[in-house]
Amino acid sequence: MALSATDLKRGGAASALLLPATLLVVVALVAPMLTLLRYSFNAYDPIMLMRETFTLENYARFFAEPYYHEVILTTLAVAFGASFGALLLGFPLAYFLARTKSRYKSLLVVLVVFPLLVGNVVRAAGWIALFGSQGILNVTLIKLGLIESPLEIMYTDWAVIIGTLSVVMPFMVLSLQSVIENVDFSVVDAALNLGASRFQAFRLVFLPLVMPGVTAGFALIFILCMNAYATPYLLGGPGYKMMAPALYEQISVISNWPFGSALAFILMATTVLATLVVTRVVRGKTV
Amino acid sequence: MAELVIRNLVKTYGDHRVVDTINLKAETAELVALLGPSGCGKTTLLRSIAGFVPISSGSIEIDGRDVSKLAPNKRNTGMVFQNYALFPHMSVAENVAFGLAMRKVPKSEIEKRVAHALDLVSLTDYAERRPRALSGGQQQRVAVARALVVNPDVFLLDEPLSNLDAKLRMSVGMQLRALQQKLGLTTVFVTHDQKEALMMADRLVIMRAGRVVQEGTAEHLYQEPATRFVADFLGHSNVLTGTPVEGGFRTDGGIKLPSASTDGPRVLAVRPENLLLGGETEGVETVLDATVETVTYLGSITEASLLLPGGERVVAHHQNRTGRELHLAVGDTIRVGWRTNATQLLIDDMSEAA
Repeated sequence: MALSATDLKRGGAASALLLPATLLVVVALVAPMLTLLRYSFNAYDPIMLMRETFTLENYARFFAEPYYHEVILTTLAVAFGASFGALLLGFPLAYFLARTKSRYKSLLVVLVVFPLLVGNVVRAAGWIALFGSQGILNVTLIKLGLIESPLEIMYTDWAVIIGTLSVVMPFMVLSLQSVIENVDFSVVDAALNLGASRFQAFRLVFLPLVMPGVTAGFALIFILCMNAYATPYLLGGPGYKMMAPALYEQISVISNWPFGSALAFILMATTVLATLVVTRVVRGKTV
Repeated sequence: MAELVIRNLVKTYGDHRVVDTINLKAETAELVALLGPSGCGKTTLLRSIAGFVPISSGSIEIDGRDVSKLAPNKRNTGMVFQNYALFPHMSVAENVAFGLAMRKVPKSEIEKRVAHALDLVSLTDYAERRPRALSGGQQQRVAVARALVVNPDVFLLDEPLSNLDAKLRMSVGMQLRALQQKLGLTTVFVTHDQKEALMMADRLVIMRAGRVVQEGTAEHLYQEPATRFVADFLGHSNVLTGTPVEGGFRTDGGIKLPSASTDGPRVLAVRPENLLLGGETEGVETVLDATVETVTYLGSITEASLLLPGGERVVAHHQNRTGRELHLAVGDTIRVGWRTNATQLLIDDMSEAA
């Protein structure tokens, strides 16, 4: 079919509507990324800070220094730990929210979203005040004579994992809830009617139907965790070894833009790769 | 296949009795239709037979065994859901095989029985398709095959024709009925569509507000409705309100009509096809002069709405046999009449609802 003048006009109008978003993406995302990518092949110079060249030195340094192996492994461990934790804790909650016929349902959803209204930094600061070595909890316990020296709660791996988990939990619950709400539960009834036990109906019918959505939700949360900055910095302490704080330190404290840029791309590549592996594994299992 | 017996079944939600003391029996190989308006409790009753709705009191027996406390997967019923509830992530063959796999039937036998079931519903060529790739009628047949392949004791159908378009409904209904008779399935069928029930059922159970109003064969219910509700729900009936008087019945419009029974508050009911028009009224007991209000030509019949002298409105169906065509115009005065044996004095169970 030939395109008429109105079709073309309509196509023009549609393109015009897409333009602002496209421009925003190009200016705010693509251009800075390309700049950083170019920087990552430059060399650091203590005096000039950055020297134009083309070298793989920054990437080589990352793979050569055991310190950065530890950083990336800690990042992966925290991200997986927090994401799996959020999945395990969030699934029952999301299931309940999706299935409840309570008239308080919307109130419950608001309660789930509520933590998002409190910024990461504010929340982490509150935790420091509560759980820090000079925090209310430790001071009280010492005054009561229950302990002699403060408990080490802050600045541990667990503090970071639990902190990150609590930040991403609302996202996990909301994405799981929408997935579960889209399931037609008569298929579960059908499975029971055909002789399946409740567990079999769950595993053979319900789970395969929600799995694509669960994977998508998990991937979203995992990416958030991999890139977490404020929570690890505040709850893990300034020296905590995760990628986002480490690369920020390179760029803003040491002013080593080339190495910081390389770290950024390594973080991105690792995130993409890990997300792909996880979704592949899950998909391979269910289909 | 087996006999299904339900005794004094009650299901309450809070104070509300959704199913109120139902007694029901489906003989071996009998198809019983539960018919009623939405909210009458028919679906709750069906779901309680399948075990999805825990009952408040009473019992459900299948083949003499009380199953009312058993989980759904222990009852051996085969249910076809209104939306078919096919497993979207499985092929047609996997859907049908599911119940057999749950019963730990050996693989080679599963293959044979799935093939046989798909053959029964003429879907052999579609075994590897996903449900989404099938038409509504085909999906319905998959649901039927999936429910039947496990040799259920009772076959349960929840509005199985309601998601099909009107043209398909008739033929699919006939096929389903033929299959049920061929396999001798004890079947409970839920519908709000009287045509489906009349077409398929051995016996109809008319439900209203959680109770059985009347049960019997289609003919029995149509010709001898026990109450105004049944007469009105099954087919159309002209209902004249009034009071029984000596030797007959006086309508609220003041027309005195001869009739037989005279006890209790009653309404007089006449089916539209039993209203005789013009020359047909020769020699019948009741003849009145009516004004034609609307005329609708429907091919085989002409439907006319008539205003009686007492102010009541009735609907008449005239059969358009060759040589007997009726030419009516709005505003005409026409004689309308009926035989006394074509009328019924019915218990008025609608007035409190009206």
